[in-house]
Amino acid sequence: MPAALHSYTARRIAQTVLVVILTYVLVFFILFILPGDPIQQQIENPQNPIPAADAKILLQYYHVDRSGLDQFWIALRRLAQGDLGYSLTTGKPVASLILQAIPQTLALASTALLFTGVIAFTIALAAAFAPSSVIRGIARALPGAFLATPSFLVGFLLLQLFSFQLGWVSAIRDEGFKSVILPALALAIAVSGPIAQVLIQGLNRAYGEPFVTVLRARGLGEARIVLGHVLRNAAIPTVTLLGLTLGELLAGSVVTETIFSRTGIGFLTQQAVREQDAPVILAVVMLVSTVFALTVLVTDLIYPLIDPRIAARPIPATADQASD
Amino acid sequence: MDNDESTRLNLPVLSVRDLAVVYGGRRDRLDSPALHGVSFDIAAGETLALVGQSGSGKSTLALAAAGLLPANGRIVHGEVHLRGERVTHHDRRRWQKLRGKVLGFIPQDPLGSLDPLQRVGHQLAQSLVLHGIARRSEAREQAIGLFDRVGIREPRLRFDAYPHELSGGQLQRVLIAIAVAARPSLLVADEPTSALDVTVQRRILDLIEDLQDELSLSLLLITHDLALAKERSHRLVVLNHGAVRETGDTATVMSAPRDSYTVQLLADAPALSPDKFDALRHARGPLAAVPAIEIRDLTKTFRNRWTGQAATALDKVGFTVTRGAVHALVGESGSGKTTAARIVAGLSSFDSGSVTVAGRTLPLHPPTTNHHARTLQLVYQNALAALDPKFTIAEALAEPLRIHRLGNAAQRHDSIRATLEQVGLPESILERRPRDLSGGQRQRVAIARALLLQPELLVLDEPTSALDVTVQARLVELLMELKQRNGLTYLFISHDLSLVRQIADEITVLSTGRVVETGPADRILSSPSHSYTADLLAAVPGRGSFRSAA
Repeated sequence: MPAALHSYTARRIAQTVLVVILTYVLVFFILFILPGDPIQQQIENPQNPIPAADAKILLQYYHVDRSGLDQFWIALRRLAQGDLGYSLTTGKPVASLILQAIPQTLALASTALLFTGVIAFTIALAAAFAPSSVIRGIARALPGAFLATPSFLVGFLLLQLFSFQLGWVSAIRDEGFKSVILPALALAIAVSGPIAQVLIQGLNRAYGEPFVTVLRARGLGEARIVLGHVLRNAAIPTVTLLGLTLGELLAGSVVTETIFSRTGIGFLTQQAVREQDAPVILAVVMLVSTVFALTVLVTDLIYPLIDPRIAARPIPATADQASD
Repeated sequence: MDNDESTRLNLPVLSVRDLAVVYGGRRDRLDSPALHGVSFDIAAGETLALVGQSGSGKSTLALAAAGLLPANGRIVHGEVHLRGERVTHHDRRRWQKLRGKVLGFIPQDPLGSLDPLQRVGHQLAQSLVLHGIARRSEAREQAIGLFDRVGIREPRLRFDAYPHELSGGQLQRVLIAIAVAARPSLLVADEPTSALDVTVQRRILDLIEDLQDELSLSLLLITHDLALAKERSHRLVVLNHGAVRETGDTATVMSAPRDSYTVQLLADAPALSPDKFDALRHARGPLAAVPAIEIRDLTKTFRNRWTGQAATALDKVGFTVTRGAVHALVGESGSGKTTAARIVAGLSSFDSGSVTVAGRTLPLHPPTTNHHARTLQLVYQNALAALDPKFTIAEALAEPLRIHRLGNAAQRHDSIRATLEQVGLPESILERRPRDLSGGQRQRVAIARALLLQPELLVLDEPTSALDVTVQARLVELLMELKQRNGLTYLFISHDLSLVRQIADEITVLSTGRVVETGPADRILSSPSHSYTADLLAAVPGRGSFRSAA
C-alpha cells in the first residue's frame, strides 16, 4: 500500500506543478502577446498620460520591440529572481503591491473559511440528526436560502444591522480583526450552502449504511455512532468542496472587499482590471491559480488519510472486472 | 452468571408473545401490519430458524427482537422478553445496555457492515473496551486472540487490515467475533451467509455452531434457505405475510408439514427435491453429440491500469456445450464464470484460444454491434439493471425487434403478445415500467425479450439467484418448459449446486479461472474426480441429517 500511496502523491504533485506552469504560459500570452499591446495602450492613455521619460523606461523594461517568445523568456528569468515587473499605473513594483494586499485577503479568506466550516457543519448536523422535525426542516431549507441570496445583499444587510443600527463595527474605518468579521460572515454565508447540502446528503447516506445498524447492535451510543463513524464516512465530498471553496473565497473577495472597502487582493484586482494594468493582472491570476492548485493538491492528499481505500484503488474497476 | 440463572429457572432466553409491528405512523396502516400475532420462545442453547420469503416479515421480527427497528417501525401489540426482562417498549438508552452484552447481532451483508474507514481490529477492540471485557491496554491482545478463535488467518496481521482488504468470509468472521465479544446469551443472525459462497457458508455456519456450544448461546437464525434451516436448527418458525404459518420441531415440520404453505416451500426448495425434472429429461431421450458452443484454450487477463499487474481471469479454459443441453457453469465468486459467459455472448474480448458459437468462430475483439444477437441472447442476474427504467415493458420488448427490423408494427405486436403468453405474463403489464413489477415478473420480461429474436442459445447468468424460493421454482419450471418447446440450449451460470443438480445435463466446474472438471452432470455429481468439486458438493446444505436436539 505505501508504494501505491507514494506514486499517488508523486503524480498529484507533478500534475499540480504542470497546471501552474501552463496557466502562466496561457495568461502571459493572452495579456502580452495577443494584438492590443497593453503597455503601448497604457502609455497613450489620454486620461492617464505617462511622462515620456517614464514611458521610455517602461518600454525598455518590457522589451516591447522584441518577439513574443523573447519577451516570455525575459519575464520568466525575472520571475525566477522574484521580479514580477512594475505596475503600469502607479509604477510601483508588482511584488510589493501583492505583498501589501495579501495579509488583508488572507485574514478575510481564512476567517471566512473557518466560518464556512462551522456554519455548514452545524446546519448539516442539525438537518440530519436534530431530534425535532421542525428544526430538521428549517436546517434543510437554509442551504437553499443561502444559495439564493447574493453575497452583496448579505453584505449590505450585515452592514445595516451591525454597523448602522447597532454601531458595533465601523463600515469604513479599519479596526483590525473586528473589521474582518462582517465581510467574512458575508462570504461564509454565500459559500456554505453547497457544502452544508453535500454534507447533509453524505450524512444521510452514511447513516443508512448497514454498518450503522451493526454499530448500534454492538451497544454504541448515538453520539459516538454519528461523531465517530458516520461523520468521517460522509466527509470526503465535503472536503473536496471545502478545498474548492477556498478558491472561491479568494475570487469572491473582489466583490466583498469592494463593499466593505478593504484593500486586499480583490481590491487590487478590481483596480488592475479597470486600469488594464497587465503586470498586476498576471501576478494576481498566478497567485489565485497557484493557491487553487495547491488547495486541490492538499485535499487530494488528505483523501487517503480519511479513506484508506482511495490510495489502494484509485481507479474504479471496469465493468469487466467488476462482474463475477 | 445471568446465563446460568435463566437456565436454572428454565426461562426462555427470548420470548415473543402475540407480537404485531407496523411501519409508518398513519392509523390506516394498522390494517396491514408487517407482523401480527407472532409468538415463539427460544430456550438456552437452542437454535430457532425463522423461515420465510422476502416480505414475510422475518427480518422485521429479527429487528424487533433486537430493538433495531427503523424509526418508522413500532410495536403496536404483544410482548418481547429478553432473558426475563420485558423489552417491548425499551427506548434507545435502555436497549443500549442490553446490546452486545445480552444480545449479539450478525448481519446479512458482511461487506457493508463494518465501518470501511477503520481497521477491523480496532472495531473489535472498541467493543471489548466498551463492554468492559478488556482494558484499553490489553484490548489489542484480546482482540487478536478472539480473531484467532473465529478462524481468521494470521490474526496479528489482520488486526490492522481495513475491511476492503478482507474477503467476505473473513469479514463475516470479524463480525461474528464482534457479536460474541461481550459474551451475549442470544445471537440474532439475519441471513448470515446468503451473501457468501457455499464452501465459505458452510465453514461460517460450523463456526457459529461451535461458538454456540462453547458459550452456550441461543441462536435466532433468519433464513430463506429451507435446506440450511433443516441442517442447522432445532426448531422452526415458518412465516408468511407477517403471520406464523407453522412452528415446531425442525425434523417434524420437515418430514410431516401440516400447513399448505410449508408444503409448497418444501417442494420448491431445489435442495429438497433434486429429481424434480428427471421425468422431463427422460421423456426427451439422450442428446445427439452436436456441439452448440465449443471453447478451446480460452485465456483472458485483466490488467490493472494503475499498478500494471495482470490478473488471469481465465486460464486455458475449454469445454463443449451440447446442442439441446442445459450446461451448468459452476464456480465460486472470482472463478471466472461471468467472464466466460460474456466472452461467449460476444461482449468481452479475449487474449487467446478459440470460441465457436453455433458454428461461428468469434474474433478476439468483438465488434461493437453484436451480429449474432439472433443466435444467442444473454439473460442477466439483475433484471432491474438490465431493463431501461424509462421504457415501458412494451417499448422494452419491441426494441430488439425494431433494431433487427423484424416485421411491421402489427406483426411485432403479435409476436410480443405470443411471447408474453409463453412466459406467463398478462398483457396488462405492457404499459407498466420495470420498477412497478415484482422481481419474478421482471426476470420474465427479460427472458421474453431474449426469446423474441428466437435465439438457439441462451446464456443465463444466475437468472434466479436474486429471487425467492417459490418465485425461483416457478421461473425454473418456465425455463425448462421453454427449452423443451423451443429446442433451446442453455449455458446456465450458477453458484447454487442444488439447483444445478435439478436441471443440468452437463457441468463445467471453474475455480480461479481454470476448468476443474467438465462432463455429464450425472457423473460429476455422483463421483466427482476432483477434490474441489467434492468440497463444493459437500458444502451444499440439506444433504446432512437433522441437527440433534441439544
